[in-house]
Amino acid sequence: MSQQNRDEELQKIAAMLAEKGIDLPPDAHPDVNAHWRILEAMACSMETYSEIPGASLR
Amino acid sequence: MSHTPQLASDRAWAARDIHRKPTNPDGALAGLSFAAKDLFQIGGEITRAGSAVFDNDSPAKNDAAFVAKARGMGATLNFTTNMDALAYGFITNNPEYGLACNPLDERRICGGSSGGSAASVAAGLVDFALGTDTSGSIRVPAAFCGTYGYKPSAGIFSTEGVQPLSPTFDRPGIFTRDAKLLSRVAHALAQSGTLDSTAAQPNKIGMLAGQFASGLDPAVKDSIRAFSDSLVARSGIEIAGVQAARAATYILVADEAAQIHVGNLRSQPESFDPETRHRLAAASLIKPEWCNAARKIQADFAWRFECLFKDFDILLAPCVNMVAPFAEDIEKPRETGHPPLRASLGMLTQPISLIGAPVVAIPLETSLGFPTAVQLIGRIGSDAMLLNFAKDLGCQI
Repeated sequence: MSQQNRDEELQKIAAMLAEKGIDLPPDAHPDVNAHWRILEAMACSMETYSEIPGASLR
Repeated sequence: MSHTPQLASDRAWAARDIHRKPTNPDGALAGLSFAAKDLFQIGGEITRAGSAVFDNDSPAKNDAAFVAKARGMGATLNFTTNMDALAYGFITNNPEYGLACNPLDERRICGGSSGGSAASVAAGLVDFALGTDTSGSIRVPAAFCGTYGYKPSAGIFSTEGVQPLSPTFDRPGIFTRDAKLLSRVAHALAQSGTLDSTAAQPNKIGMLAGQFASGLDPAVKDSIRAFSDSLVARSGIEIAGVQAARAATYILVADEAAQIHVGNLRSQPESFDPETRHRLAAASLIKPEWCNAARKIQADFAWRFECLFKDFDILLAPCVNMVAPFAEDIEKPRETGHPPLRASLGMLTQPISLIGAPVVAIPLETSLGFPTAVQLIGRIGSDAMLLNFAKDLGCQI
């Protein structure tokens, strides 16, 4: 990932936190972003459930 | 005068030196000693839950109902136990209380988040200990320390006076060194009418496979197989969607934890330790559609288990896929393509948390000289049957 992409990711995290009213110093944003990426990976993992034969998600 | 054993302080198993005598010295647990995870209210003390976040709160007026019942049954509270901050972790590496080491090898972790409770019992410092299990926080440390652990169905033990992490999944529970005492303590502390001491024995036991048998350390695999071979009517039972179910638990627990702590994240972020603060901050950003998807998986996965419970009274699965790891290895990848150890610790307990099933963790020896544990999983409300069965197995550490 390029430095520019990394910076954009962190800006996005900072904006999302600000929207929630959470004010953390910039040096916290990379760590928050790392945890956010784990949550995104978990969300992706949940998407596989609908591929299971017989899964009822309605 | 300190009532906490020096060993518990030295090895970071104790949180605080809080001693309380029984309120009724003649109860069913008379003469027994216990320790309680640092998140149970103790009358006259601030409920810290291993975090400075609550340090400006008023002291609790009363004991948590679970603690009060233990004291009312004749047991003595000797100290509170170390835990991951806010019960959000599987290591018991607390920024203030320290890294709790495994009673069998100081270089290894004891698991978490109820690690101080499991270690104190395993080391023989108390007769039993109280903990909580949300995603595996009783079962993982029970496996690493070689104790029995009991995560009940909802409603068996009172949650009144327990600092929550995720109210949907939080379950107060118990650690002991033997199954007979586990059953005795559970029956003494259960809310009225919730545990039937005359519960029937299980007819049919099955062994879960698929993801539950994948990536196991060979020593853990051999130990589980040796235990289950003589018990199970059928092994190799596959259930679909285990990884997605684990992810659903992860998302729902994180979302509830963020909802509980978001006020303090806004008003006093500096009072959190950095790791917990950043984890909760990320969780506060969880999208509502993820939670909706997780709840649908929860309903479907529970239905799949209900189908299995038409054929089996108890299902077996490992608690963890390894013996207690070295503390220094926690962040290292296991091998190419495998996630770091830290990420593996709840893989086999989180899917079971999703369905709310009661579990008794039974400790087993391995050829490595360190214990593991098997989950005895029952349908919701079958707790008494699980406890009786564990007791009749007569397993002694």
